Amino acid sequence: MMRRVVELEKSVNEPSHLELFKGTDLYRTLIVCGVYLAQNLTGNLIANQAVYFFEREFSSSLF
Amino acid sequence: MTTNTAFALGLITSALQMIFVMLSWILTTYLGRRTIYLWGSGFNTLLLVALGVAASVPVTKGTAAATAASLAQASLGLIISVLFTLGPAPASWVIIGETSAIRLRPLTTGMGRASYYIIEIPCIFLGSYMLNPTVGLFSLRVLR
Repeated sequence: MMRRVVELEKSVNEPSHLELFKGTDLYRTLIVCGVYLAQNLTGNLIANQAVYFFEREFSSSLF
Repeated sequence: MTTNTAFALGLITSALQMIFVMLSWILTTYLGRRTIYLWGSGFNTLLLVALGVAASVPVTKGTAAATAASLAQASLGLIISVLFTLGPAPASWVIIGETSAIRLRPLTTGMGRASYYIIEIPCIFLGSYMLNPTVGLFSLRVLR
């Protein structure tokens, strides 16, 4: 697979950014962008702050 | 909670995330990435809504109900961030790597990463406002 990709990169002409927005490749671009966006929009910046929520609840008593 | 305990809890969260990524390797031998991504995202959405509900119920400060609501938010936050690393997170990297055409792969991935950073800037602002107890867009709701 890796060898094939390297050979393919040598043989084909230079890809341009415009091709990302044409035909099937437009769908591919949208899927990749959407999956990347979902990583942010699923609220991980908040959910990863669980320690902060615990900290707020037990300011000094329990631990 | 002392600074050390808070730091330890942060480390424990990261350790749990690492273990759950390893469990996702086992999960991928039984389920396809589409199944994992869709069901994982759906279940996480459900838990996030539950977190929002726990943060929205009106309770008076200092009561048992307030403690319960706060603990529910904290635990759900932990569970969501850990479950995310079991299902949707590894599956999303697989989808990103495999969707694009081989010839356009660097460009497509670059474009996706750019859109990720563009949307991350407002997310960071919103997140800070949600978590800040003194300056608060959502402070009455998320923080009491």
